[in-house]
Amino acid sequence: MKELTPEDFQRIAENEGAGLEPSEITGLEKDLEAYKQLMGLLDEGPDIGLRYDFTARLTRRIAAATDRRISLRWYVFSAVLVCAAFGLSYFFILLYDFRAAQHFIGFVGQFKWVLGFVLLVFLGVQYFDRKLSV
Amino acid sequence: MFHFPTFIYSYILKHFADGRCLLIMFDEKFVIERVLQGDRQAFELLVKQYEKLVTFVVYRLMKNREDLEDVCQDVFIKVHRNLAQFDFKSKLASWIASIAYRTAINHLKKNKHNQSIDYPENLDHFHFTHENPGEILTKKDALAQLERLIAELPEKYRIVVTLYHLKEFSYSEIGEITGLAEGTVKTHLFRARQLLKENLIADKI
Repeated sequence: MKELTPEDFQRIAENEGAGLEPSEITGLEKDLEAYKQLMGLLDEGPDIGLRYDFTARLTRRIAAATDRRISLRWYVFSAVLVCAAFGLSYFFILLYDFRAAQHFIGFVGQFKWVLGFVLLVFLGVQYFDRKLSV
Repeated sequence: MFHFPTFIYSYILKHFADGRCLLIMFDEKFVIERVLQGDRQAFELLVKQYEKLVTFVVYRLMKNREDLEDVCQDVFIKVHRNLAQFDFKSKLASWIASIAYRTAINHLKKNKHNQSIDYPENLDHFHFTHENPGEILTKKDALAQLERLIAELPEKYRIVVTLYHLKEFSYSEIGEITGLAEGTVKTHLFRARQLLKENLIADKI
């Protein structure tokens, strides 16, 4: 009689052992039964599950992350827009009058901290507005 | 390939969002398109469809079960973030399983200090360190004992046994997910089950 390897037992237990005569497994039923029981338990899998609100909490987390990404893009865009507005203003004034453009730069330089503060306050208000409305 | 008309799908998604009746009609291409368009319900459906797969893979690989839910969330966040890159060359389940596998392994590496088991270089020489304590009486006990034994196995054995017995993947797909050769997958599976059988059920019969 052919000696069965553990692989053979497992294949038979999974019904893949076609071709084996019943006489070939006589006396080995105990091992086969053990493997079948093991397969049954393994197929069942661990008795574990996630909390019922897992999906809801996950989608909330993803929505918050998406919102943060959009907010960041919006803040960068706002900052670029403000800088571009100053740049364009300077350019058009420069086309009209060189001295006026110099005054403009001087004015901006004089109040740079105030302008920076206004910009920060504006972005801060937008940030908290978004945060509180989520 | 047949697709349900969008309005029917939307109706089903809206009214049967628990996904129970949709398991037989889960059209991954359609659901992916909807998720990419920002449809939250479609993503919830995707999560429900693959929740068991991700939970089993992460659970079997984790040492610290308290982090299970956080790691599962990380897996689905990565799925959501990278879904546009899914190229349909493999099954969506395989792609998600590989993300779950890598995420759990990375988590293990980050928390390496929690690992206490030293595995031999050659996994063929792996044996459990203790004998099966006493006779197993109930199926619940058997399942609990099996989980304890699986937790002791090397991670390559654990992932192969878990993926194979989810009945969703072929040997080659398990190889793709884990980065193992198909022959190695078979060897690990047979060896793991042999070890489990010897320690779990042999004494009982």
